[in-house]
Amino acid sequence: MRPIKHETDVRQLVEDPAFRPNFFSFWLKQPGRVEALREADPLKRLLLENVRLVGASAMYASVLFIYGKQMLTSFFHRTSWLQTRPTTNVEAPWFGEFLLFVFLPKEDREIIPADLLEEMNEVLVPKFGSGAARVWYWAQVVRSIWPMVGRRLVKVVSWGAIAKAVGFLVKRFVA
Amino acid sequence: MPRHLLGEFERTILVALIRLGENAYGVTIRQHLSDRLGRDVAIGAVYATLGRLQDKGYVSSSLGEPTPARGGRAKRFFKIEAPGSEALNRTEREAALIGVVNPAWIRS
Repeated sequence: MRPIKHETDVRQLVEDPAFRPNFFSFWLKQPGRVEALREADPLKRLLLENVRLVGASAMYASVLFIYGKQMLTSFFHRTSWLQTRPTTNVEAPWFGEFLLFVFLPKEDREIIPADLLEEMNEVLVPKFGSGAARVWYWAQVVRSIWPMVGRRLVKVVSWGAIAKAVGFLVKRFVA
Repeated sequence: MPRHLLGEFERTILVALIRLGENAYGVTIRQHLSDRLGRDVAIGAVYATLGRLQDKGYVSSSLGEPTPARGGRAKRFFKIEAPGSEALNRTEREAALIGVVNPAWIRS
């Protein structure tokens, strides 16, 4: 989208049928809003002139903040950390466990890392040593993420389609 | 009932569940598959397929007791259900039928 420098450009852009509207453009379409833009201070004006960028950035930042905070909180308060510490020789790499925690569905978050830890300590460490066992663990983490992400992606895409349909109805009947 | 045929990996997992019986959980299933298929199978792929089979009602799962060897975390045991057995039988039957087709019939 080309940058907007004047109020006339804003109006042209909003009224252009090719322009994909968003909530900011609905705000701009209200009477007197473009005139108000001219009166706005430079910072507000900069924000309004880049409505799509600001909107998208705010959305992604809020999703990242809410989801990331929730993830970190639940990771550091896992039930397994409150229970008996493992009596095994080698600890699983914490970052690998964290990656699994982030990408796995909720019901598998405790189970899959535990399976990997058990196999690593009971099969891999006695056979190949701790270094090779850790390499194996990381290989399993990397290879396990893709099928799980694929499963989640299907759900996300279907939720995206629902969100898009709701957005369309809101624009159609509310705006 | 829909005539759903299983994929190769799904079929192998169901066979593994039958062979392992009461002791079918992530580690044993993965080791069984690796032995049977002759290659290393990612644990994520096993659980993704088991999750899909569970969504279809072909397998069920239950949690075991937490053990120190697993860092105080429980095992999830899987069990094949009646629809899973039926789907496995159906798939095996179809595969057997394809196997006995004479190639000469297809050419003519």
